[in-house]
Amino acid sequence: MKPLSRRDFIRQCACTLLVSGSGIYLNPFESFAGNPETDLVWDKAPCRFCGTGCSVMVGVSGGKIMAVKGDPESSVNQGTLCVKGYALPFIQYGTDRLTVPLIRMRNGRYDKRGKLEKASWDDALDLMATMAKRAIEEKGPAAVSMFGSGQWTIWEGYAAAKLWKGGLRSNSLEVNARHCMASAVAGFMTTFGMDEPMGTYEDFDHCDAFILWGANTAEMHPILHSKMTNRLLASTGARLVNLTTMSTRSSEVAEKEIIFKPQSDLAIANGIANLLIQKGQINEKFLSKHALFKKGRENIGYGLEDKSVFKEKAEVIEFDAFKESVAHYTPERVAEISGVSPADLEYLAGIYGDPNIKVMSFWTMGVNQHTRGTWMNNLINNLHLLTGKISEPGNHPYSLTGQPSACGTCREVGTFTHRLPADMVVGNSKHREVAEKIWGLPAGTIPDKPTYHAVEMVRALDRGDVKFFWSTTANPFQDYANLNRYRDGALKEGRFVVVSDVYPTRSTEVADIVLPTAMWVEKEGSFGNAERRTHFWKQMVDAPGESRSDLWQIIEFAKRMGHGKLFEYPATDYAIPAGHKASDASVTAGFYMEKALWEEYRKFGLGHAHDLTPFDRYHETRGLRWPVVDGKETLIRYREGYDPYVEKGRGFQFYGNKKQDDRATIWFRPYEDPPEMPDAKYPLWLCTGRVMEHWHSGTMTRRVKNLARAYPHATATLHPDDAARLGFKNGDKVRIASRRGHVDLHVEIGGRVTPQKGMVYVPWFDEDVMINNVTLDAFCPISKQTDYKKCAVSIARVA
Amino acid sequence: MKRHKWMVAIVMLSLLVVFACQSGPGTNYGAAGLATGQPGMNTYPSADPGETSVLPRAYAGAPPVVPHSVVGLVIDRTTNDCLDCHLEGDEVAEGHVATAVPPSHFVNEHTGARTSDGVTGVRYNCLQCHVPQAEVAGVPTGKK
Repeated sequence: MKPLSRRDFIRQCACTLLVSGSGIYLNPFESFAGNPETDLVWDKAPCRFCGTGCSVMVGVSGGKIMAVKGDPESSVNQGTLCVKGYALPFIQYGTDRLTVPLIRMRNGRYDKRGKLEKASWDDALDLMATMAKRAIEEKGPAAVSMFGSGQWTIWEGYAAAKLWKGGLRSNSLEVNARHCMASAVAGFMTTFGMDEPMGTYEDFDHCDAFILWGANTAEMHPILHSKMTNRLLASTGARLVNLTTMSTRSSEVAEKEIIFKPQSDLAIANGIANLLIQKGQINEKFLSKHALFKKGRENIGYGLEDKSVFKEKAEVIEFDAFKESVAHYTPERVAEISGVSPADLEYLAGIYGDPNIKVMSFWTMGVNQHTRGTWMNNLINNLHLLTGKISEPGNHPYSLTGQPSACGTCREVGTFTHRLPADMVVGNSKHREVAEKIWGLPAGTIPDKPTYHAVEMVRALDRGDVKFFWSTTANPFQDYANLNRYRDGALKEGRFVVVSDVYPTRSTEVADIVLPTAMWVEKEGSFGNAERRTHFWKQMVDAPGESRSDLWQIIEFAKRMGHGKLFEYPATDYAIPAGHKASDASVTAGFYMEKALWEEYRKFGLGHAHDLTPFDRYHETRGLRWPVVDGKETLIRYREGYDPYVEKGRGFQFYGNKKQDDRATIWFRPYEDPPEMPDAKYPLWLCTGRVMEHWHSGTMTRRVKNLARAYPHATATLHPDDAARLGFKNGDKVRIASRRGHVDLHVEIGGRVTPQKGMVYVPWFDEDVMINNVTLDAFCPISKQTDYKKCAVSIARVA
Repeated sequence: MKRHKWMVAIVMLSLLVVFACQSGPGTNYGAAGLATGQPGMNTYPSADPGETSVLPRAYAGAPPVVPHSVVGLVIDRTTNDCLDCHLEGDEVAEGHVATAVPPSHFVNEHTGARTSDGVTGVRYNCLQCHVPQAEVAGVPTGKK
């Protein structure tokens, strides 16, 4: 065929567009056959999947979502979306959507061994309150727990925190972000004294070297990966290095793929630090003014025992002591631990050490889901501090975020057992005082000790110390590692499990009560993404049947627990504007509940570098990056000229560490083995994770035909040499077993990832492949984040 | 009054129908929604480009799915096998014209101007939007 001229080409494309614009294909709502541009009502919202926080335009007609498109006005995604984003119009409309509350019943009454039957909201909420009160009587407030997620809106998380800590006087509030971002939080807190990255996505356009530390951005953060790709292709000389335990799609645009043995990233980072010092490539001027050195406890364990505790013992050390400690990580020793050649280590050190190369290090689950996750975060931060490559355009350590509001809701609101909003903690009497004052509560209301972090919470449920467990926007009974124990625990007598969700899941399967829940644009919402961007959306459609928002559910439960007062605000201050589609929570309250909660919540951060701006502004923008001071967002933190909190003349100021003269901490953290390594009986590493098409446990994305068909089932991916050695062909059915459990599934060879030899990769989205029955519930003792990336398994053919 | 009773009856009846549709026979809330009891295998069409027809889009503006095999197709910094045929919509076999890359993919995301050198970098990873479709049997979709 003769190549088309540019003009023909454009004309042809225009025709294609016209054709495609004239009809809706495979749309479940065949009644709509109009022109999407003119006949749909479009409004903006953040995507509800990953932490990238793309902005989408949502097209609505007849009370249904008909289409989405990338929002060209957003600097996050500039009009583009990934395949999951384009699937947003379908996630609400699975045919088995939950639409009525369900209670497990037998002979007309609640019975743990009964069947889920339809119930009224009043019956469901009354029963919840009865069971929660009974739990408090028997075991105290800590026995009443809630497990939310980074898919909560900010005000849902805030309402939960206020009810739990200020009302029920229970610190048993956690989120699945504990499994996701806790090591990043602990890393930022211990290095900088403040959580969250210093840069934004605008830095991508200034960066010369993108270093991925165990992050498969091509699948997990496609839009961010495309921003990197854009830079790599733009003849700027920019490069990408993929440091990974598996060959992935992210390697396709990489200058170099460097495969390392599981856990050995600790040795690699120390090896780079050593080379930087040996070659005189550290930034002494920066270090002398802005950093200090510390070491902490070693041999810190893995949290495998119930009720394990960890207490850090930090001491300041001299640079020479630090130098001596990392000097043990010679290229030869690093090669021995990691399998990375001395030449490759020199290559990496060369990138970090060259003052003319701007470096951004990226990480997510590979580094965070790690029994030394906090250490690994510290070590990456170290490399940027040692070289002074931080807090300037294109130079940052950059933790990517898993969930759409892991930052906005979990980290900023502080929906963890030990935290309060704006980086405050329950263990600090001044912080409790601030919270009690804002909440109008008597001094001493908030309990001063954390109770159960996420893993300990389900262990307590199993033991019977937690009697009431309310899960929402998460799927804990598919997600927890060492799952057999915790599913069995949930099913024990005397444990009351409430699950708020949109579809039947592996968690509703073990629930005593199931609450049908509104999702995404079925309610008014707010998310905070991985560049500190707070983004609001309005309710665009109604939730089906009797579904209610999490916010409504939390407040109604609060009323029945005698804490309705926590959610009473002057209606005159928060009138619902004319023409505004008010949420169920606002309608029930008779005032603009979301706005009332927001205006109260933002008091926590004002004046100390967590500033958020008044409510209405967020509905007018594509989000704003905090701290928002005098109406202006902050693009780079800790840097004079960018961050209003840095004093004049200071250059850099890590003001989260006021007690150490605004200096960031460079930690010595050694390599230590993981708790379980392959041996004769369990000879392979198991690594688990996601695939691009499916979000977490797949409850939404597997109900979208295009996504389900793009990646229907979880399979076991092996290195071809391992498959040959073990005699497996593509499609063979095998059993993967660990000391904790087993799962049967099919072998896939030559899929989109190729694990290193001696490793098997299994994604966890599939309800028929409950891989978390196999995984190990070991966690980082500092962050309490589970390591889903490493345990030892056997693999054998089954009939 | 009589009319009122009729209205109540109709409302009750329609509610019943709604409930029946939502949790009728065969819906077991005790089971996980999508579990089938058996692990599955992903089998994708082996047909080469040019041997298949265009599949329908999910909605106007949704990215087209890939009707052919993508095994062995390379997308890296120097090669993009997808663009070989799709950049300008080549006729890859008689009667089979590859879907051409639309104008949106040639717009500089910062300036809004048309790019001078092909598809913009942010659209270069074709597979992040355009995904192949496995054989239909056994795909769970939430339908009961």
